[in-house]
Amino acid sequence: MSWITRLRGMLRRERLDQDLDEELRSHLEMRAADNLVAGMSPEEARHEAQKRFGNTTLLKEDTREVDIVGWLDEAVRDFRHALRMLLRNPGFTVVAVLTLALGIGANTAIFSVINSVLLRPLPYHDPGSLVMVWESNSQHPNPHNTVSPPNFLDWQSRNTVFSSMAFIFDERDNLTGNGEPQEIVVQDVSASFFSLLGVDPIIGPGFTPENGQPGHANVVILSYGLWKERFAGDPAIVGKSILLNGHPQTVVGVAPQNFRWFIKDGSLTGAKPQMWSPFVFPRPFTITSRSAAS
Amino acid sequence: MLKPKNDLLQGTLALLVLKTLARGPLHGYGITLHIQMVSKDILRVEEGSLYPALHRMEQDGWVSAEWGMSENHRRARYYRLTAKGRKQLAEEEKNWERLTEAVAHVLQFA
Repeated sequence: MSWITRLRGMLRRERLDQDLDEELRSHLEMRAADNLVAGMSPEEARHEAQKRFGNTTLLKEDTREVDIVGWLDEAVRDFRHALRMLLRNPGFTVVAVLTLALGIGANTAIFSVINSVLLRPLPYHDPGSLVMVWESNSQHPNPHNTVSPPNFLDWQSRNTVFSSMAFIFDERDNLTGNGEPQEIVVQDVSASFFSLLGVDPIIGPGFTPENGQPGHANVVILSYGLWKERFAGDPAIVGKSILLNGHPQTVVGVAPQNFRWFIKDGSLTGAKPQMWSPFVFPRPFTITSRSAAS
Repeated sequence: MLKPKNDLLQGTLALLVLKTLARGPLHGYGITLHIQMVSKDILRVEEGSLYPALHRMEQDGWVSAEWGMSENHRRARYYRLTAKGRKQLAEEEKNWERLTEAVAHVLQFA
């Protein structure tokens, strides 16, 4: 019996039982018929035939057991045989196992990376239409150079490609008050940064366009991590004041937990931001446009 | 031919069934009839031992089974000897001869 038949047999248990029932029944009837011909009465004929069968239930169980045990037997035998063959060819076995291990390992590693980098959705609105723009200086080895504020303003006002642009610049600042002085990574961004990304703070109003104006820029948005660690997740944090490099800033929001922004190219600190602050473009640069652009 | 607990008897049953099927496909009842008839009623195969044995032989690939129509138009399962079964039959016949010879020798040596 091929293994396919056996497999099918396993899956069609009931059908096999019915088959066996029918087989036994037809056997019994044939014997009863012969008994009749031999001269017995119908009841005698049937009774004798049944007696010959003995315990039908036991018979069926024994037969079924043969089917199942036989399958198991065969399977175990096949498995042991395969194992023996493998052990007899150690060279082949080693190569096969190594190949499998490498393949599976590499696959898993690559997938984990791809999963966290590509597949996990970016926490921004419509990430497919977000583009990072750097300045490029052919003289400089690094093709991703940070653009200067005046050039950025030119880009912003004169480009025909992007619906909106925001400026990002990170640095390390000192956070004091409410505990130990701590050096944190702060991202100076255009006031429109969060609205461009379509990200709303989980508490607080966030930045308004006004915050980009001088005198109205002493506001900050905390990262979720910083809020939890340093401010113990204080739900009344909005409106409180903190000292950044000695200057008081008002907290106007906390970023969502899954919000992250980390682009190494052009980053000064090379670290994840813990706070966002609106960048104020110095006045003279907003008046004229510069011709030097690259 | 009684209890199948005895390994010797069980092995003999397989031999008898294989030999019976060598003449052509038969259903279970036909097999018992044939053996009973040829052995002049001395060997009576009990269904309780026949069917487990038949299914075991089917598992081992010595016989193949399929449904067919009996002489009096009844549906019955016919068993047929396979090539593997034929080989098995030849081997079992050889073993049987050797066994009976050996027993005879021991018995003669009085």
